[in-house]
Amino acid sequence: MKPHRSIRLFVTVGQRLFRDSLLFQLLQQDEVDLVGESETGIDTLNRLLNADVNVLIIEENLRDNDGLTIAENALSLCPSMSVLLISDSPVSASRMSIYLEAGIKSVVSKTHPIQELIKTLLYIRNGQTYVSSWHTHSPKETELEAYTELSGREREVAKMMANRIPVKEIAEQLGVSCKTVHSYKDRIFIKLGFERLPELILFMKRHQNAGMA
Amino acid sequence: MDRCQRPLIILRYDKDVEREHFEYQFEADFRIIAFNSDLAVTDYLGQDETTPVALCLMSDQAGDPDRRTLLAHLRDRHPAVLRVLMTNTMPLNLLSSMLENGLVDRCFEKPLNEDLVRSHILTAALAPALPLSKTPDKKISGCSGKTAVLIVDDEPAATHYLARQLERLQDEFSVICAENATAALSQFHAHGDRIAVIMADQRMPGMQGNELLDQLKRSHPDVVRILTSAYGEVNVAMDAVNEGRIFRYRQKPWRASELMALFRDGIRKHRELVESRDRDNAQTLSRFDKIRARRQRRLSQTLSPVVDSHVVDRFLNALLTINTLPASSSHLRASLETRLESELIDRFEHTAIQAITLIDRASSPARALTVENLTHALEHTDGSGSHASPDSLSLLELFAHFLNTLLRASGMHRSELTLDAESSSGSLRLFLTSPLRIYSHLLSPITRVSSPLLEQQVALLALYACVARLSGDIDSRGGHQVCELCIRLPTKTSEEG
Repeated sequence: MKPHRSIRLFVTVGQRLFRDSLLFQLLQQDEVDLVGESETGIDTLNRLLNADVNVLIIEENLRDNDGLTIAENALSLCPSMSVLLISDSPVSASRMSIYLEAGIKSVVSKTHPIQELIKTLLYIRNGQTYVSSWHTHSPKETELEAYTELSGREREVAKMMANRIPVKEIAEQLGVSCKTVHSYKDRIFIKLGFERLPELILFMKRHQNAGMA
Repeated sequence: MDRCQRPLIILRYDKDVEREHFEYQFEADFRIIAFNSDLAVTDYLGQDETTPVALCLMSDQAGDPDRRTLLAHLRDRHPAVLRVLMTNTMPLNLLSSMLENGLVDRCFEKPLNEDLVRSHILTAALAPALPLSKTPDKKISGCSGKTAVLIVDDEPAATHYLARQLERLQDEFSVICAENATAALSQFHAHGDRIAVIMADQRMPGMQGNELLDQLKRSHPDVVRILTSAYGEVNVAMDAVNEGRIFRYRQKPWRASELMALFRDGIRKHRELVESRDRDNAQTLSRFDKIRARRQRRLSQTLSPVVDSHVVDRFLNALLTINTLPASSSHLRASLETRLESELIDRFEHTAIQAITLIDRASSPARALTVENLTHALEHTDGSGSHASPDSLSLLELFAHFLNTLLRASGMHRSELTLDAESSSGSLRLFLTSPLRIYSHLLSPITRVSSPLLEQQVALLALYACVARLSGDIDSRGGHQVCELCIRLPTKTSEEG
């Protein structure tokens, strides 16, 4: 199949800590390239034109102006860009239809898990609109359900991986080959719907400490 | 908008197991009514029940004539219902003929991508058009020169030959050629207002045909888009159909006679699009003018008991000179279908009255008005407000406080402010080295009442009020998304106290 275009991303998020955390996650996606970032709306508009952006992620609440107003102006400058708006809380259906009509491709709320933002980013990159389910099953439940479906051996491997034990050592401890550990690893990731080790580590720590494992 | 809580969809299925699976996948998102015969579907739609958002037609034989009859029935009788076809394999020629006959809106091959199907149907449920009246508008968009069709293909010899042939056959449109997407985009730069139809080959070096059309869909939505390819890439075509990216899909090789008909249809479609856009724009603007007039009246009425009417008038008139983006349907929807208008008035009133009360109560400046004193006041009242609460500020300090707020909420810094003493006229002059950037204001189209907007607007009104009390003058000059401010304050105040 044809290779996807890379995502030339511009991120406008006021708080540095939040922006950094987002970018650490997003830049782990191979296709994502960061071409600019900003804290304020006016600065975003000043710099957008020269950055050849194809996706803008912008917070709804900015220190200056309103994220949607800035996005509308950004779209009038670069109509072929896709905008993803980050809202503080889940938006109602009537707000959502206002956003879509204004040309926003998707809205992700700060209450959503990071995986939702990444999935949305991949869907909207070519100008597609993406509306996710109103009735998101709590991700915690789905993950927990998936966890209970892991076999005993898979759970064991998952725990060791979450403790950052190298594959070779896991293989030695369990008395199996590295290849076998790798196939356990693949199965764990598929079953839990994760793509990267940090996701697994976070999940295992959260639930181990909550007394699940 | 309870239609959007769980939109109603109709499922037409053949096998129970498929229905069960579909219900399992989507029942949390949609209210599903399932039928296993076409007749039952048309019967249901014929009754006066709630109109569904979509008909999902699950069929192993997508080309079955009965299916086409059902889809055509929906197209003609219930055009508002989204027609979604779900099938095992979709032959390209069938897809392209269904597109040509307007039979399907969306098409998905199994196994279904749950996220995509859901997103498409929810989007359709969210976007019922605002009721605009359909009275035809006589104005026809002017376009300079002859209508043109742009053909983008990386075989220049073939396209040039085709172009000459097409031009010889008729006198209605001219044909422009481009060898790749970049050349096509520069043609749009040069002849953008003449191009009515673009036909792009999918496989080209550099940007692919579907990507080019996707970009044009967003930058030139009225240009009718046709995708063509010598290869049967059904995924690309299906994706283009689902995204509303294309008017037709045409497989190569091309025949001039066929293309003639295709381009004529395309040009007709283009004219319809332009006319409906012009009509919608004109109606949107005139409807927003009414909203604006009402908003202005309500603001004047609300503020009149507390603020000098002269100050209010000057403030509102200054705003009217600042142009922002024109009103769009999202603004209308926000003003007409949400509590936006009353929220704006209420929140502005609340904050403005607090500010005005402070100004009315504040003591006259104890010290003479000099550049140094004002600079000091600006530093003292900068930003966080940790130095003093606004309640205890003098009039000069309040003036500085609101000036700081205005700059901050407009994304500017105090260093962009210049202070001059004009000894000849005995006044202080303040101006900004670059104008205030104003993307929305109290009288412009907005979709949301945000805190920075309120802060900025209240600060501006407060500045008018402070300057009036200090017997000074504000000269404001609005432009496109900007406002130049120049404030003069007499150094010897004749303020009554």
